[in-house]
Amino acid sequence: MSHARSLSILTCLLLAGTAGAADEQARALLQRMDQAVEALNYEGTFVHIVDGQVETMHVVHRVEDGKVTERLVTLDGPSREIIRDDQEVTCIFADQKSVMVERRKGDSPLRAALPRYSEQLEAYYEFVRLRDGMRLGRNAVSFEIRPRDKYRYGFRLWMDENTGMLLKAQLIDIYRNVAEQLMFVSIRLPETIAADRVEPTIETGDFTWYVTQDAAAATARASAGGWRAVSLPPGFKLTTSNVEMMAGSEHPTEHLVYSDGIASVSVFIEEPERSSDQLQGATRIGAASAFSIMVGGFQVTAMGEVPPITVEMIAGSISGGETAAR
Amino acid sequence: MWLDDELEERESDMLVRRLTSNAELRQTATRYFLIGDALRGELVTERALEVSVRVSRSLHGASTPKTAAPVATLSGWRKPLAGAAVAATVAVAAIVGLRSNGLEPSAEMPVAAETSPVPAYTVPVDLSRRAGAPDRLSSYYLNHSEYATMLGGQGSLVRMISAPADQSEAAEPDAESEVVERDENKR
Repeated sequence: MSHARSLSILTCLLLAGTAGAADEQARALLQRMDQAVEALNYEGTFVHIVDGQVETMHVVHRVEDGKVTERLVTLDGPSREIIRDDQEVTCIFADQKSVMVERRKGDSPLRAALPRYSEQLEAYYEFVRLRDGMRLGRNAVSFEIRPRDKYRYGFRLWMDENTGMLLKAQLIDIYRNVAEQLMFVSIRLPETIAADRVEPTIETGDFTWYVTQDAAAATARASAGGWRAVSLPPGFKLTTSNVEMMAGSEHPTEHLVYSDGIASVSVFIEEPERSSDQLQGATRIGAASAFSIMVGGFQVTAMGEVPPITVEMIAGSISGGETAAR
Repeated sequence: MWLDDELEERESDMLVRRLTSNAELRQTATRYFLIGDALRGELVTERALEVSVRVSRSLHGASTPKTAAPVATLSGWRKPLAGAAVAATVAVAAIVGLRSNGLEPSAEMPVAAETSPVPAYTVPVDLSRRAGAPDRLSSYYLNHSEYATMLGGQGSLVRMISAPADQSEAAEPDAESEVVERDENKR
């Protein structure tokens, strides 16, 4: 991001005269930040706060010839590390002596099908500029994305004015509480990052590996069911439908993704191996929600960074694949 | 870059290395940043105090009470690559069972009129009794992270390696950020 372009964006913000223009500019900032987080070289330490628990993590994000490699490592608690490149995501859990590998979908048409920012978002979210200030010695632009109903969460975001880099993010729940927070306490944005900075640091010699099975997935796709959600929260649309063999799984899993352009909900449908494997009810992972239900002998689980009511509604309306899948 | 952007790059690198290896220093840095948040009105006072107390406890070696984390099992998983035969029972993602007590609002309820009963509807359950359950959720969530659109996606991998959360505490209250009204953007 050039200095001139930054000035241009700042000037636009200062001259903003209408509510619509403010929304549009907040959306532009959001998109700029989204791109910066993926396209910039950066290395930093950040805190992740959820349920009153503060954890420190370190991230190294390297971009070389357009290819992104990222290493995320815990600095507190159990030794855990995630390496993400354009081929796969590798999760190393030293405390469990296990490694879980998922093949990346990369820039596949599936991922590209995700909705982009548009005026349609304004029916479901309000974009509000917050007071700008300094963070990490940088001028920070901040704004809030407020949901207009109870089916989605909001966000408060702080980004570096010059680079667009995310400096702090808060996920806001339906009661306007901060449900989760991610905040850099240090960050560097060098021109280049050495390749060894994104190499795994945990020795995995005697670990057990669980990996995605590509060949089996290709076979499974041929017998994909016709599962769909028949009742969706306003604004959510099907963006992806796929059949996958997940790491460690012996059976194909149908994966549907519904999104309103900001939030996304994944729905996983599979036949449980044993009746004891059946999932029922609500769970959460950090601020993400999940809801599981059995439909015609199939396990249906919806999950995403949305309120529990949303995943419950979507999971509860899944149908149509029972016959096709058998 | 650091708080006042006064550090040279070499010094900043050294500080990052020290932060990586020194837990006490990390806690101190975290405390200062949270204090900064409180001063800017991005944390409500009681929450800032609570966090401060927790950090202080950590600095003095006192443990904060934690609820046992749900256990995720990998019992049904294959082991396609080389490795010892492990009867794996692992806690992967920090998965917490919930149970609704009816306080979940309807979608039609206006946001602004809400109070904050968040802690009331999140009740941990023992997931370990459901063999095979949490491991599938972890796998699902890792897969979901590929499709999580922008903001959700930023945090999804972080949630994957995050330690199990302390269930005894409530969610963080509103940060009370100062909002600049749209028409003030003219400046």
